[in-house]
Amino acid sequence: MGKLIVRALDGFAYLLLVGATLVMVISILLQVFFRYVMNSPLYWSEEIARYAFVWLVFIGAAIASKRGSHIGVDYVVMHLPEVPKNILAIVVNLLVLFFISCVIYMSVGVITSNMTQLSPAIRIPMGYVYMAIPIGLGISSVYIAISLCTAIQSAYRSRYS
Amino acid sequence: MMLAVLFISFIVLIAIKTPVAYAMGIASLLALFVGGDSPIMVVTNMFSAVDSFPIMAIPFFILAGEMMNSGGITSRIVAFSRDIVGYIRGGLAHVNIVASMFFAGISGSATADASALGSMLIPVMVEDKYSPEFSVAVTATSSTIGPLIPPSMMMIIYGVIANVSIAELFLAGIVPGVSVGLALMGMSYYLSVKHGYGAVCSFSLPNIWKSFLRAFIPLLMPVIVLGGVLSGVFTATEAGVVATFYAFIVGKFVYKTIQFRDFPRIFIDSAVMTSICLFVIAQSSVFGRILALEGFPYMITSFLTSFQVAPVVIELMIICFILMLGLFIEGIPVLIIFAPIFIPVISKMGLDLVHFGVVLNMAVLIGSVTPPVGILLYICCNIAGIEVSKASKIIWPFVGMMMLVLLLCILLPAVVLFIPRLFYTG
Repeated sequence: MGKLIVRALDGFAYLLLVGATLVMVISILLQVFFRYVMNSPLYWSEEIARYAFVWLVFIGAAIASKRGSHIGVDYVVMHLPEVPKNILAIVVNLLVLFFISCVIYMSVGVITSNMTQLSPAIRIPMGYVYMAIPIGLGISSVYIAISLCTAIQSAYRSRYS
Repeated sequence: MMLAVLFISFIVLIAIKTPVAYAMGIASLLALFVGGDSPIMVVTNMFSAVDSFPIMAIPFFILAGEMMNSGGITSRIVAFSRDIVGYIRGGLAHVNIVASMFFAGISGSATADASALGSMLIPVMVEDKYSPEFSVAVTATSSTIGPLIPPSMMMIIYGVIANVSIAELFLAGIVPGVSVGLALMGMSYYLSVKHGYGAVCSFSLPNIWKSFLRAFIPLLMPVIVLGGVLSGVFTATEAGVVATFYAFIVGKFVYKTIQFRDFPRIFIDSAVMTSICLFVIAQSSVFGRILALEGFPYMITSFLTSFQVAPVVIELMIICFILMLGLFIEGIPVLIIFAPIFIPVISKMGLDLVHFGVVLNMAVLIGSVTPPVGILLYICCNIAGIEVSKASKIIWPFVGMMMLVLLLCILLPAVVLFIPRLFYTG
């Protein structure tokens, strides 16, 4: 069951990433084409590409958490023995989850107050663009919770073996 | 008080291996709690940092580079480099460096450069009796040319932070990038004579012509990008999308090496690479905002200008600081954290921001190869299957050459700014 949810989440995130990439590439290509070949610049292309980009960044950050590829400095940690290393990993994951919860909580207010605010060119409520932050970080929190569990397990194992 | 909380919590978080982006976010949040300011700005700043058209050049250049890579251009570029410098003593080392210079015109990232060329050339070098340490040192140091010769992710980031023209930064990176390449070739030659490494092939003009034709299509990409930006046909972001389109046509229809089913993987991998970088930028904007509100850049400016020495001395001090920091932490996060702090100092002293951008990037890049912590060194050691500590000794002569070029670039701004001045006056 848990595995199924994670797989569905992966699929959802991948779909959004591919979709956002396509929207960005195609709309900016059209922008160049219409300006130089058709001589009639588009008014919506830049905005739609930018909003797709916002979504791409926050969803992509979740997949980066899944793959453990966010940049960190392991110079101090790599000199530590197994047990404190695991404990620090648990602390880090808890802090990140705390941060994500705060941001998601605050973004609810930002989104509701931006639902009536329309974007200048394509006239969509800005709240939908801001939604990338809580959704992206929400997906991240699932992957981070998983690595928290792994860290707890290995801490437990290295303590009692 | 807010500053103290911000710095102490940030340093502690970094030390316990919190991802840099989250460390900045958490430290900012704590500082805002302590200062009693509205933490909502964490959300709004995070958003507005990413909602930017110029910075969107990054995903496009990453995507173009990934597609070119999947299209099998690396081997064509290596073959061409082999024919033009392989006959010199220490042939494969020179091939490696020259290939990095060409590759730099296609990818904008040193790590992409190190992993693509390293996985192709390090095994060949080791097989040809070069020591693994030497092969690693050559590959790691030469991959720093990637972000100097345009396009370059680091230049785009700096350009957005400093609010200077990305096209000018691209142009200003050319002379330092090529100089680093030549300096590394000089050192490779010297060491090859010492260790008795030979040439890999003999000089042959017809072969050069043949491999040039094979590498012509990938080599045309930087020409399109730079040409388009310089002639004002498109912005750097649009150049990125044109490069992506070009790479797509080449990979799909000319070389036919990319299938449609490969695209989702390429898209997802490039998107994740983009996010890793942009997520740091997003979090740093809150961090930087707090620093600015608390007047930190101003404090640094008045501290540094209080020394009453020539501006270039202060520039040297800043660069030395970045180099020392580079022993332990490096890459794009350093650029993102420190560029906003030092840029006011540089502009206050009347120094050129384009020039500073280039030397700052060079210093950050040197940091990525210097042990004990250097991502490029790690990547290459990993490919060669050797311990980082083993490669740590032989890398220093190469790093020395890079520092020499860096020093010359700092002392002779006119050389760095020569090409941009041809196109832009002022």
